[in-house]
Amino acid sequence: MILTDSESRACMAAWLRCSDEGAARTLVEAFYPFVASLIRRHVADTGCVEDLAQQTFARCFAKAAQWDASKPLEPWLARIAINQCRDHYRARRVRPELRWGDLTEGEQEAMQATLIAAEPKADTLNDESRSLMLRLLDTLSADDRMVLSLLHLDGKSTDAIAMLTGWSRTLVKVRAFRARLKLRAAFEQLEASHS
Amino acid sequence: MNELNQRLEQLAARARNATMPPSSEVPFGLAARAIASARAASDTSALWTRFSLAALPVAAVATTACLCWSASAMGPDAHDLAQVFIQTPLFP
Repeated sequence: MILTDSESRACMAAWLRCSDEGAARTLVEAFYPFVASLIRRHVADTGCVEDLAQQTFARCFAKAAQWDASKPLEPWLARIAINQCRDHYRARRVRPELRWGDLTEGEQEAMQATLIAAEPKADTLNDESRSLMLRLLDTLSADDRMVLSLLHLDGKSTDAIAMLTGWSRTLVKVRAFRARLKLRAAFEQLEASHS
Repeated sequence: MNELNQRLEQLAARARNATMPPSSEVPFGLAARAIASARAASDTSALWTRFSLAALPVAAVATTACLCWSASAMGPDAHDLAQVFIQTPLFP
C-alpha cells in the first residue's frame, strides 16, 4: 500500500484526534516496508527487525503530537527507526573482538579478497562483504557504528546523517573520523589474527 | 594507512551492492501490538499528569495553612527581632 503525503497526514491527524485504530493500521501497512528495510540495513540480526519496527511505530504513535504536520512523515519515521537501532546497540553491553576463526567461510573469502585487493567475479561476494562489514561494525560503540553504517553502507551525506541523528554536522564529521580509526584497528586486528 | 583505507572502502563498496530481501508484508499482529504499546505509554504519562494535577490543590492548601499558622504564631516582638536580625549584619 502506498500513501500520498496528504493521505499520511490525514491518517496521523485521525490518530491524534481520536486515536483512530484504522488510521494507525493504514500507516503501519504503508510504511512497514520502508521502516523494515531501513532497520535491516543497520542491524545484523534479522530476528530483531520485527521488534525494532514495532517499537518504531509504537513510538511514532505515542509521540505523534511532536510531529511537525507541515513536513512529510517519512523522514520523521526514519529518524525514530535510526534511534531505535542505536538504542538496540547501546543496550548491548559486550562488543565482541573479531577473530579470523569467528568468521564464516563466505566472510573469510570476502576478507581475503579485500586483503589481496582482488576484484571478485561479478557480485559473488557482495552479501558476504556486507556480513563481514556488519561484524566489523559490531566491534564499535552504538554511535560509532551508526555513523559509519549510515556513511558507508547507506552512502548518506554528512548533512543527511546530521538530520537523521539530530547531531550537528561537525559532530558527525568528528565522530566519523574517530570511528574510522577504530574500524581500521579492528580490521588490522582481524588481519593479524589470520596471519 | 592509505592502502588500508582503500581496502576498507572496497569492502564497503561491495557491501553496498549486497542484495536485501524484500520486506513488503507486515508481520501478523504487528500493527495491533504497536498500537497497544503506544496506548500503554500514553496511559502511563496520563496517569502521572492526573496524579500531579490532583496533588496540586492539596499542596496549595498545605502551603496556605503553613503560612497562616506561622503568621498567627508571630507576635509583635517577633517583628522587632526580625528587624534586629536584618540590621545587625548590615550595620554592625
